[in-house]
Amino acid sequence: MKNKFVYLSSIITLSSSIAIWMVSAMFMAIACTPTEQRDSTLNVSLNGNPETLDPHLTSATLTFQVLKSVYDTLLESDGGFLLAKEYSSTMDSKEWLFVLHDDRVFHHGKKLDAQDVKASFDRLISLGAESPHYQRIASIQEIEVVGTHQVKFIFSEPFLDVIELFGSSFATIMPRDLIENEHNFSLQPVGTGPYVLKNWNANFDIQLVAFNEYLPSPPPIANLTFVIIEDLTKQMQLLINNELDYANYIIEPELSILEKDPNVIIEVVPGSSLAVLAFNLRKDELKNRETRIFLAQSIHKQTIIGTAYGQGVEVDVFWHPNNAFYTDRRGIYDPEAARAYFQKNPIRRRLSIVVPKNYVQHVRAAQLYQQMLSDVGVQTEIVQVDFATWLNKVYGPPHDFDMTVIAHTGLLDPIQRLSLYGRGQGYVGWVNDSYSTILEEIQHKVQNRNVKVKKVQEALMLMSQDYPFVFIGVLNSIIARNVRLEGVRVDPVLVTYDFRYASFKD
Amino acid sequence: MPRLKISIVLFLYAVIVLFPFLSRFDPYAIHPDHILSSSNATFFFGTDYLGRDILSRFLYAMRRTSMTTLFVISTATVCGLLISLFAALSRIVARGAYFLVDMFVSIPIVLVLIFLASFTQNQNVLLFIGQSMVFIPLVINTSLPVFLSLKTRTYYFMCIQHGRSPLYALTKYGCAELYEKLLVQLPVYASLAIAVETGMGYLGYGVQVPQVNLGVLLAESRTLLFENLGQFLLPLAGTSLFIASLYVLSSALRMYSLHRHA
Repeated sequence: MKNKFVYLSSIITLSSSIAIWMVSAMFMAIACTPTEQRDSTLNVSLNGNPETLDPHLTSATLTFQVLKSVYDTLLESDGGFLLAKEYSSTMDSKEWLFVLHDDRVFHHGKKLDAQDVKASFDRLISLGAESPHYQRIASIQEIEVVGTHQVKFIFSEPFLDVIELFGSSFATIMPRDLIENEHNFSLQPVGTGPYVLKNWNANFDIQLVAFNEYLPSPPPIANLTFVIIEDLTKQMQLLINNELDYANYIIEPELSILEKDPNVIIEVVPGSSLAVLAFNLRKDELKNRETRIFLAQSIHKQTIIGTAYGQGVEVDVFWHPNNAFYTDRRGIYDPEAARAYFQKNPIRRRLSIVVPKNYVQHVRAAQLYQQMLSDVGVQTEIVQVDFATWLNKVYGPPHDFDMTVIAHTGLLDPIQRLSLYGRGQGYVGWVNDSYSTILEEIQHKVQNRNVKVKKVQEALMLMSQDYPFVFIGVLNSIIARNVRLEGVRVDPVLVTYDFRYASFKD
Repeated sequence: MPRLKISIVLFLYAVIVLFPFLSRFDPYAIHPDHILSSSNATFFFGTDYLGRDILSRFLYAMRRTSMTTLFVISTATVCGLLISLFAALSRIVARGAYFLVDMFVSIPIVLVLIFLASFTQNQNVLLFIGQSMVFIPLVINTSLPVFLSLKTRTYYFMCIQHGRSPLYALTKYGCAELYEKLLVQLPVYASLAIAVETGMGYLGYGVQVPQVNLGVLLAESRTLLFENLGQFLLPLAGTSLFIASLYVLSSALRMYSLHRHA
């Protein structure tokens, strides 16, 4: 009996050992992926889980960082051609004719034609206020299919911002047949872009595979994976271990460590993300302009940029300095005056600073704001929420926040950006009649570019002096990439990534 | 010897609670000119990514952890004892209490917290709920059998026969019987509470920035594991010391109790 028991237990032990050995070997095989196979996948860090992959329904940069590889637009954001091979306008700039490439194909096999362009913009128009981009296409009166690969846009008034509209991330072209079938583009985007969506594991990763029929040529790297990482330490470790090839928004202390790593290269890309501390003017305490001015005077912008965001250029208007529309204005940093003001006019409750917790830079900035405001006698509380909750709290009614920290990206056209404010719309709820009148003039009356620039600068000044935001600075993108990775392009304005020409060098 | 151990541990806690008032820097004070400083004469353990003094933050974290633990443990003890008391009086409440205990023990706390986080962003509430979910069942598990066994004792029946209510009898004899048992158990529960709070803080729950606890300090310093080991070891050593001292306290109390009975 005893021998039998010993015999049985020996067999069990032996078979368990073999099983454990086999499982370990399997894991080892997976872990030790050959270099060739590893080079066929480009792993890119994404700072949060996108709320949707439908470009018409969001203005979140996270979504467009993914969709830049899935969809194409008619034009590039710098004015180059993409799906269109040429375009022209009538003398009055009211009608714009686009001629499309006749060999472009959607991911599901359908060939691109003018009907797809019309259907895509019709969808955007039909979404109405449901789309955050609705105002930007409000002047499109009609879209006419002229030929199989020719489409005409008729505007209600002279329209000059062609690149700004047709090169924008949201102006993507979707297939007409799927639009008509009410395809769920939020989960399954189908475009003509260099990569096809394979799988979206929420909060984990978004896997794309190269589209072999992409023209002019398929992307060199076969697989593109956006790894959703909110933890910067984990991101750093993955970069060091070569398990991640590309990451943006690198800050200290990870930056100093990555700089020392021979497998990682740090690059600074001049950006146009505009960091602001935004006020909710619907709240009683923040309706008073004087209060906002003194809140702004207590913020030391250079400290915020240097400590929370890494690098950038200080600004005081809602636009970036390397642009013709920019106008210079210097706000005042005077915490003493602010302290005196808040001693006389105290804010009697704790103001909330709502921040998305996946953006570590904004969380750091919020802590700095809290300290600076506390120094002048304004008490605040930081409310860290996940990205989706932040979007709901800030953008959705009833706009449940006092202040928020945000970096504005993704708009090519200053007029479109500015037109989101001034009539109480937008998340800050700012109302200014003079500003709105100027914008009306710019949008509907002014044709001369010089006059337009002056008017935009006037509007920027009005906004800046009324303080719906404290403008902090235009931020640079600090990027860490694998030393062997080359050819990735970052759109400095939209902060999206172009992986069409990316490859690993030997 | 047990008395000495108890005195040492209590002295340690007094230092933890009082010392932050004596620390040189405000744990939230940002020093932009001293970001990520290594140990020096001004900042003994260096500074973090916003230039805050690590030592002050560590002392503050220890104090915060000890205070929240004390609060949670005392609340959980009162709640657990009350539930047990009423459960001993009513069979339905007893069934409910045991169901509650089984349920809370079987569900992973982190999952519940993630679920609750979608309803409330108040991290203190989350921490309180999370820790209560652990300790109320533990207190019930310890006290309910004692209360139930009391109901079979002669002196309980005699007390009832003298016109006292069952509630009075259970409270009187139950507390006397549970007093020493809980005194020995509570430091162990407290050490568990510290582990839970540290774990939650590490995962990003239970603390709202710029507040800090040992878990947050551990999470923040792990990036610097190879750059500034001291910053990482400080919260690690603090947590370990905290937990170990509570076990020492528990064992000392047990020994003290045995000595007293002997």
